Amino acid sequence: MKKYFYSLIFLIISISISAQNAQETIDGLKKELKANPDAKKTATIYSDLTWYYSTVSIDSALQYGNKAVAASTKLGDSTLIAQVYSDVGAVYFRKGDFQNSKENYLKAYKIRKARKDSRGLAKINNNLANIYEKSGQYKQAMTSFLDALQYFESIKDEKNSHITKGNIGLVLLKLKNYPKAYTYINDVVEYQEENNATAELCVSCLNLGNVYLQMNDTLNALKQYNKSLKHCQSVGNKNGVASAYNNIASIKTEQKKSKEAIAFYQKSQNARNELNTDIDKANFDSNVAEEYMRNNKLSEAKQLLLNAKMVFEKEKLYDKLQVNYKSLIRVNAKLNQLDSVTFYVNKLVVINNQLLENNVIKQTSELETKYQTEKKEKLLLQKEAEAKQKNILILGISLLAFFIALIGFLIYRQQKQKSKQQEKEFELKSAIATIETQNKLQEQRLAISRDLHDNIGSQLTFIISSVDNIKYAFEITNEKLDNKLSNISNFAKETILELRDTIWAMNSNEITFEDLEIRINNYIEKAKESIDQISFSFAIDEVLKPQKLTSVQGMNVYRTIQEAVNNSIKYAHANVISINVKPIENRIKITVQDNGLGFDVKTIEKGNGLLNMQKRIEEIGGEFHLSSSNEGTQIEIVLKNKEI
Amino acid sequence: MVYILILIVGALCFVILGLVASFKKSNLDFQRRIMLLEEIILDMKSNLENQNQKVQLSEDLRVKLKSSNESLSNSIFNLNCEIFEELYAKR
Repeated sequence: MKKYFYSLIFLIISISISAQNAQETIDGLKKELKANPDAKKTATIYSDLTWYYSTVSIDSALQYGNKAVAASTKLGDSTLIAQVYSDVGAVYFRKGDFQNSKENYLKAYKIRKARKDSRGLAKINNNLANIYEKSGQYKQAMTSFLDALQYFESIKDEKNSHITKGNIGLVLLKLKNYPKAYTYINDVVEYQEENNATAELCVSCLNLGNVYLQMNDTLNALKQYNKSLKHCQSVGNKNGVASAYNNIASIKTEQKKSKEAIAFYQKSQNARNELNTDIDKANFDSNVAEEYMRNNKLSEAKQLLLNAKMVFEKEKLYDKLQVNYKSLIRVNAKLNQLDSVTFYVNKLVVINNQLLENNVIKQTSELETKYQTEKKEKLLLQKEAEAKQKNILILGISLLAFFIALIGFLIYRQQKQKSKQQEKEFELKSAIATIETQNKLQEQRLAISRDLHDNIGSQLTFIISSVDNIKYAFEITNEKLDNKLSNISNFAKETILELRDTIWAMNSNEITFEDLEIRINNYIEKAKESIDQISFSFAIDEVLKPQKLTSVQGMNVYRTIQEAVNNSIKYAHANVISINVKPIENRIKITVQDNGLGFDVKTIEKGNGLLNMQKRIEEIGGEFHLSSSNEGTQIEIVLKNKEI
Repeated sequence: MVYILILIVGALCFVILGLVASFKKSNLDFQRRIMLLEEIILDMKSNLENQNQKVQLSEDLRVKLKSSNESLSNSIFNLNCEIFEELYAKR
């Protein structure tokens, strides 16, 4: 009896259906279908009919399931296809065909995974866990249920969380952990009662009743079965109704209330008949027959057993047939029909042999399959290893090629850089060679000019001494002749002075203001020798003394000052001449001032002297200013101070 | 095969590192050489500039001497004429 009990528990699954009566919903959907809706609507209606029929008629549910699969595949709507596969999986589950149920759920799983539908995936995990549970894979079932529960709790989906908890409770019931199973299922029932979830309560109360029964609390078990019966009837869950009646009947049997038990079994059978499941009906018949046998209603029992036998033979359910033949042997023996006993004993022997044979074939086939699977797995692993090695080889060769290319590029870059460097180096060396040539050329020129200057200097000295000798040796009385000789001598002296000044400038690479001061002082001393009344002053700022000028700059400044002093003596008849050199900001100011006769700068026509002075200063990038009044004349030279 | 490939790749890595290092070293050497050459050029240019200035001074002097030569020649020619005239008058 308990075995039958468990078979019923297996048939009860925790799924939710609409609260309204399923048959009414089905009728409504069929009406909608008659109105010729569009393809999508039709596919959706087929899908809904599959779902609602699953609690009313499994054959019809499967028929509409096939239609729904065809319609949704034609539409190409992946969401609907996944839903339909899930519904069909549920129908097969209810039918007890776990293989087909799993296949359909896995198809739905694949689609939902591609669509990244986490909620849908969790639901399918839940359903797959139900299949694992039914297949006795409790560990796997528990893992999947807990995963699903974690997901539903994370998104605070209380309804699905409680459905999953109910399923966990069922697994715990199977594992005979009744107190924990009670905690889970009772929690679910309380939640569903709070939310008036009639459809879910139909199943949950049945499960809670089963837990009570296992805990030998028949009173509470009966109470829960009655609750379940009420809820199942209100939502039209015939499967649930049948199970509830069946379980109540079992309790009645245990309580030795045979008449009541048979009545409840009859009700259960009627409900199951409406589901059109022949196997279930046959199972019920077998159970009822057992009950008839206990009450010595042998002919009724025999009739039921014969009915069940036909179904089991048709469906080739050898294990069921084995039990059925045993019952028939007992019935016939009690009826004293020995021929029938012999007949069924023979049949039992045949069926036992058949079962043994089937078992051997199954085991052999399993071994063969295992061997083939292992062989294929080995082959697969070998191929995978080969592919991996190939990939590594390709990767390695690519890497090698890349490195070789990189080295090639680096060498090319290095060579290119080297040739560029050589080119630049060559350019610089060529420039050095050119400058060197120019330097040598200039040196040669300077050497020649120095020789020339020495020669001219000695010739001029010779002229001067010759003229002076003539003047003193011949006592020239002719004044005109004497003047001419003096002029020649003076002119030669002036020229030789100019020559010496130039040689002075040429012999030094740089001229400091200190050098300039000495040179100008020398000139002033000579000027003083000829004209005693003139007072000269030369002041140079200490800061400027080490300041360097190029030879041309030095020469031009010297010549300008010399010309200015000369003009002051010669034309202005000055008796005070002062020369000042001062730094002003980033410039150098040289002033030559006298107290001689002035002139009007605006009206005077500038002679060669003044023009030359201006030209020399402008040549070296300086400014030349001339100012004159009755009190004297002032020449101002402003030079850029490069060292500041 | 894989190990050989790894060895070759490792060796190539070393070659690449060596090439990069030699490239950087050669660049640094070149920079040093170029700096030295540039310094020499600057030095020579400044020297040339000095010489050019001296040549310019010499050129100025040459012009001056040329004019002085003309003046002096004229003066000597005039003196000779004077002496000639005086000597001729005394005869």
